[in-house]
Amino acid sequence: MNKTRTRVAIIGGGRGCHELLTMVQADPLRLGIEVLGVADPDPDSPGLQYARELGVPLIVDDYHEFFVRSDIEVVIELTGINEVRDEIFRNLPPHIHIVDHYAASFFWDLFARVEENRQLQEQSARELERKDAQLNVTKRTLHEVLTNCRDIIFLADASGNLVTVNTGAERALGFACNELIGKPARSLAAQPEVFDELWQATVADGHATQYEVEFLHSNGQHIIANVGMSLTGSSGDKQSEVIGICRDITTRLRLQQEVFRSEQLAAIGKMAAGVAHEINNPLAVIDTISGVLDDHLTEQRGNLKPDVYDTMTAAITRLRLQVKRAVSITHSLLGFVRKSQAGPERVDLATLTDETLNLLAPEINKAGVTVHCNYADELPQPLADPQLIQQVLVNLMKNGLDAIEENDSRDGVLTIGLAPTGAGVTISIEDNGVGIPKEDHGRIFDLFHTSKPAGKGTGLGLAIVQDIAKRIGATVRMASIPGQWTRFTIYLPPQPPDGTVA
Amino acid sequence: MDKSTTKPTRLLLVDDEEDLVTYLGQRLQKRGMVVHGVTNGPDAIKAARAEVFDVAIVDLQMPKMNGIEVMQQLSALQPFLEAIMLTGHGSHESAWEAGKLHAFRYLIKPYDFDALLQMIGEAHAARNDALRRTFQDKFNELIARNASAREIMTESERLRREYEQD
Repeated sequence: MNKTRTRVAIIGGGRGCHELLTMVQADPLRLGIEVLGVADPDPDSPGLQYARELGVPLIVDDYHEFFVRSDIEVVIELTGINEVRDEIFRNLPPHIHIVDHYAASFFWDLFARVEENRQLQEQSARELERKDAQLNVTKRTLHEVLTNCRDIIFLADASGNLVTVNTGAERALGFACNELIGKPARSLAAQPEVFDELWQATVADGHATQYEVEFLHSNGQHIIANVGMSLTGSSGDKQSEVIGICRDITTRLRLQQEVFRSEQLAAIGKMAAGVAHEINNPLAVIDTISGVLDDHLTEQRGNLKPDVYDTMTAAITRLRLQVKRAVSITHSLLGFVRKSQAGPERVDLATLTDETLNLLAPEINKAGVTVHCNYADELPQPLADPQLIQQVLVNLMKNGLDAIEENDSRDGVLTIGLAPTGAGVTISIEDNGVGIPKEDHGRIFDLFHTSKPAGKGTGLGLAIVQDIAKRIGATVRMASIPGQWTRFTIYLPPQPPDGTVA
Repeated sequence: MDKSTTKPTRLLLVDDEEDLVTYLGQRLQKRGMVVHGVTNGPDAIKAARAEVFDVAIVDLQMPKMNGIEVMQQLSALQPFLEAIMLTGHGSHESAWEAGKLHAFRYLIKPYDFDALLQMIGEAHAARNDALRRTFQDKFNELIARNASAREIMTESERLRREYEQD
């Protein structure tokens, strides 16, 4: 293309000349044209002016000047006047060729068409580029969604081995991606056979869902997830890959269970309190009548055979004891829904704990238990209802005494600790009694769960402790070694959090 | 010290539980008290119009008229009558919160019999103290007025009748 440039002179400085000069400047078709001169009698014609700006060397009013020049190869006639063209034809020297306005307009159209095409191509190239960029954005978004999604997402091949897992899976299961890839998908589940069933259903129907599937976390704990699987190919295709999306619902389930439990507690408590209240009246009557019998027996002692008197006295004593037992049950049931009289106040826990120990002194002495008190010197005074805290202390201390009583292999020791924890206080109550069997650790706070011998426990004490703790925003934890010791720790926050009713 | 220990306690027992009235009445009578038992508020008021009591044992929750109301009306009739409220567990707290029980002694059902006996003794002694104090005040007023010996004699006799209601 880059051969010697064709040297051209333009005759006629109109708009056509202006456009031709523009085109030659840009030269999109790489024609290799060099404009040597422009001729027009009108010095203000647009073509002539533009040629002057461009520095075209030969700007003339009479085109005949071109004919004497040897360097001009072609003249382009753009006057559009046939007489001018004919005149040129007549006078043109043999070394110069002519393109008249007719031919020029023909090429003109041709060039315009080519130019149009070129622009179209450029446009579609730009369009393509834009689409490509868009595609990249979409791809990136999709990738972000997949990796940042909290759900577990995996792709497994037809033989059931993991091909890809997302970071959601890493997060939820505690394994790194590369630990998982290549492993059988079923190994994620705590019960792989549940996964197998789901897999078969997916292959048969194209998709399958299963609620509450247990997965194994790397820390050994189980997480619970809802699982949906679908086939990438058509259903029944055994060679198709499987996509699995699993949503971790462990927390939600736990919250649901908690809500359920507290609702259950509230409902049972309410009903129990009503029943307890009604039962107290007949109990009072029974107690009174047994007292009347006792009175009569005492009066008639002289008239009765000693063994009759003894038998009846023993029977009445048992009767009254059983009434007392029933009363203690109804009273603890009523304690459940008992509203506190006092509001929250700054509690001096050392004093409150000492008072509580005094309250229980008869029982502590009777059981021959030694009490150790480890109170920190400087204790914050949390905002709470002292009556509720005392109830918690009483219930836990009584449990400790009972546990000690059941373990007669050594001298009983009850250790009470008060220590600051942040702005709150941790209370600990430890006994060296029988301890709590491992299998009971999850149930100790359940209503009516008791490990004490028949007649001793109501299964209410710890449920009440838990209930109160919830109300005042405290947390209760238990640790125990069966046969050795049991320790309850209560963390009391500086003030009840919003939403709790102290 | 004096009369409360020698004179039998006159007791008004009000509870809608008939068995309780019957048998608690029996037990208290055996311990030397004079017991009048009724099973509702209106009957209690009727009884207080007819005879004088030292102590009233009143159930807080009764269908026709509750214990607080009964006690207010009884006090209007016999200002020196001391009351012991019997309440259900839980209900005494709501009554206490409402400020209704502050004025009274109370026991939570099912009560301990010995605790009840002790409380009756205290209530009777409190009544006698209040009577004696009021009598003494009025008597001192007479002396302060420089009343004649005769006036003092007749007035004190009147006061004795009024306050001891014998």
